[in-house]
Amino acid sequence: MPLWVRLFCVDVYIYCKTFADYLLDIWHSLKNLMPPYSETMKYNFVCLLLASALLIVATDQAWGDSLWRYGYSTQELRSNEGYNKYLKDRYGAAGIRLDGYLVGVTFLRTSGTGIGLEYSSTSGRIRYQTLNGEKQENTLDLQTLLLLLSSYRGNWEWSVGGGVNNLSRTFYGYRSSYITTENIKDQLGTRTSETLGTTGILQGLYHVFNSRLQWSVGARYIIAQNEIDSSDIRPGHNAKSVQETQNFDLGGLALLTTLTYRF
Amino acid sequence: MCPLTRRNLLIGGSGLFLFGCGDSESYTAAKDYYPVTSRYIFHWGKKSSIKIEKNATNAAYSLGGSVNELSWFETGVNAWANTLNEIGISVSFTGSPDVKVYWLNSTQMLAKAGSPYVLGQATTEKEIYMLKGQDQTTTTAVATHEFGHMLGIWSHSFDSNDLMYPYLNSTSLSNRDKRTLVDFLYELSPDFDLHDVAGPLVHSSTGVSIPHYVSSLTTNGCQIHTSTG
Repeated sequence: MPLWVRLFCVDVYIYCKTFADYLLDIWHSLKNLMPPYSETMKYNFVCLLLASALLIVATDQAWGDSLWRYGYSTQELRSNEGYNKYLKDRYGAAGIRLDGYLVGVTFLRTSGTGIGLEYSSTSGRIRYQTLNGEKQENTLDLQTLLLLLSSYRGNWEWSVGGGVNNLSRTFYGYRSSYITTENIKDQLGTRTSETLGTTGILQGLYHVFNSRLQWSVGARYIIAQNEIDSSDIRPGHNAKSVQETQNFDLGGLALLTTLTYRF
Repeated sequence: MCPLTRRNLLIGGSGLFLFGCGDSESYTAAKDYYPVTSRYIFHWGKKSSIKIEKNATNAAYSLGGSVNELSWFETGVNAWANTLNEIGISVSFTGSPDVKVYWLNSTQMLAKAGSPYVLGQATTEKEIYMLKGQDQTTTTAVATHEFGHMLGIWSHSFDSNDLMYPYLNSTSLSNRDKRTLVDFLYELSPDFDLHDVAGPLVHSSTGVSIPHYVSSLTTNGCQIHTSTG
């Protein structure tokens, strides 16, 4: 076997192993996030990961640097239909803002492409005064795990990504439209409910500082929908106040600023 | 003109970052009504009248209420009066009745409702059954709660501050009780106008037979079930 092939194989092996270790570390650190995902969802995620890896490997032969990133993201949710509209109608929550941090690692190819993983945790809240004059707060916490494919051209970085999300809603309210002494315990007070969904993104970042330490600003367009089932402990309700299954659109345009260190 | 430098960008970006991290302390005005039905909407319609015979009798229930009980009942019903005025509904206790109120002793209540602990019962057949011998506070609160059902709230509140909570924790109507009735229930198109209800319920557009709702307020909370009448 020619020397360059052996070296290439060793190179690929080392980077694959390193990459797998990173993945496993992140995977294990998110243990509380992962168990609820269905086998199908995990299967889709792994397939996406493998397909992306194959794509990267097929397009170039050598790895470059790794980029470690921390950032801040802010996004305003739509309020025009589905569960979003329900939140607006019931709580006056037009344009709920989700903001929070993101961390990620990207492995660069010398060709200027990269593959990375990103974990983000954003949250929002709905502060409202009830009809009885009490102040209440409902919260939304969204955790997202994304696989990113990126292209680097000068000061610009373009990415597409896909992954999974876990939305946790802590809401005061009720569950069933048929409230009696038998089910009042299910209705009472503040309850937390979790739903799972998939997320896709398109992202553009501009590196204001583009040295070993990068400071970047940009935007990402997010496509994400979670289904809030009618049997959820805090479901959406229709115009007659009867619980029904509704889609919660978690997508939209997010603004980002990130700090990245290049090893 | 000031040149745009990286330092300026950094300061500006930091400002934006802090703005993004900032927090709004404002509270929106919610319309957190409680549910009024598990399926069909019943009510009397705006700008109408509801006539109540507060001391109805028949062959089975001939006891009637005492002067005090009748007065307390009327007080309980009138707790809704101002709220009903907002949507043009008047309540009177004279004339050909839309709603009949019977007074039962515990033996009769046991036979009627299946439990001697039922303090009051209301049905979409436009009848209210009150247990005799209760004190003023209880009789008034039961009357307000059961009349709330009679107005079309065939569910309960999720909040113990509301009189339409399934347990009698509160003795007066909350703002949510009032707004749920006026701004929510009576803004919905009813499947059944209670003025027109007589005998078995049949949905006008689907032709489906529907059982009557029956609420039974006991010493251990209020239950809603259905009855074929």
